[in-house]
Amino acid sequence: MNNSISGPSKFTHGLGVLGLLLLLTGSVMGLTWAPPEQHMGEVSRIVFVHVPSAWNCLLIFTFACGFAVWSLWSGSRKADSYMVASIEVGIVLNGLLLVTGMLFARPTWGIWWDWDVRMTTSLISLIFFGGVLAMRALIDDPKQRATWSAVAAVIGYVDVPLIYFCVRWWRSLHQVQSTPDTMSPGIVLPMRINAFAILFLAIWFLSMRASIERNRLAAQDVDQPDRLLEGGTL
Amino acid sequence: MRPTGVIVGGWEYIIAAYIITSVVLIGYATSLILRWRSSRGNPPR
Repeated sequence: MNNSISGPSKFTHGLGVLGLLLLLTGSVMGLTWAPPEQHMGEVSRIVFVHVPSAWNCLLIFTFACGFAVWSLWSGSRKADSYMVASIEVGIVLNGLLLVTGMLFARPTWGIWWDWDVRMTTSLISLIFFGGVLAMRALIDDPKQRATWSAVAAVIGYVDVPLIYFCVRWWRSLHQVQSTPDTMSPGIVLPMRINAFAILFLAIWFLSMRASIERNRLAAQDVDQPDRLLEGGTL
Repeated sequence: MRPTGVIVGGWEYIIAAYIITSVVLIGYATSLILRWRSSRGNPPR
């Protein structure tokens, strides 16, 4: 059992700084350099924070599902720590995509909220994964906590492909996905920069949060050594 | 004014979206740094 202090590598810290710089660059480009969309006008500039948050939210929830399967397969604490980190980071991005989406909806659709299939499935993922974190807080035994939350994360992941494909499968106020072919190059570039920026930041967030979880578990082992016999492998 | 089919204005929504994104990302990063320090046994100064 390794009880040493855990922390992100220098490379991960560097990725976080790069993410911050890219986010500044992409946002300034999105606010000043990118052309306004032909129907939505200036308001379309919200996409440079809304869409990258949404892409990365779905990606990070996919990581959460992968780590959950790894955790169930191996009982590894590392997998559990990365799973809880992915869920928390995913929730932050999920909240951001919903709030920026509402700020986009008001001037373009004329309403703050609609029980549209895209907005509803996005809200369900926020509530479900929030529930997984709440459930973790109620379970004392680390092994049981890891198993139950991994099972819940895999179940909750069912909603993620629905969020992505629902606009194609059902009638929705939300537009279907654009492609670089349907967008002006002036819109594609800042969008890509911000997408990588938020991805790099999310990787740093994930690494930090996973380290916190492992340090907490290690501190628990020192405080309650009998748990060492019950805990999973590192 | 004759409608043009283009939404006019809306900068208040754009500014709000960028401010909220910055506050949430910076706030979450700060919370992680503080929790990470505290998890290492060094309480935040």
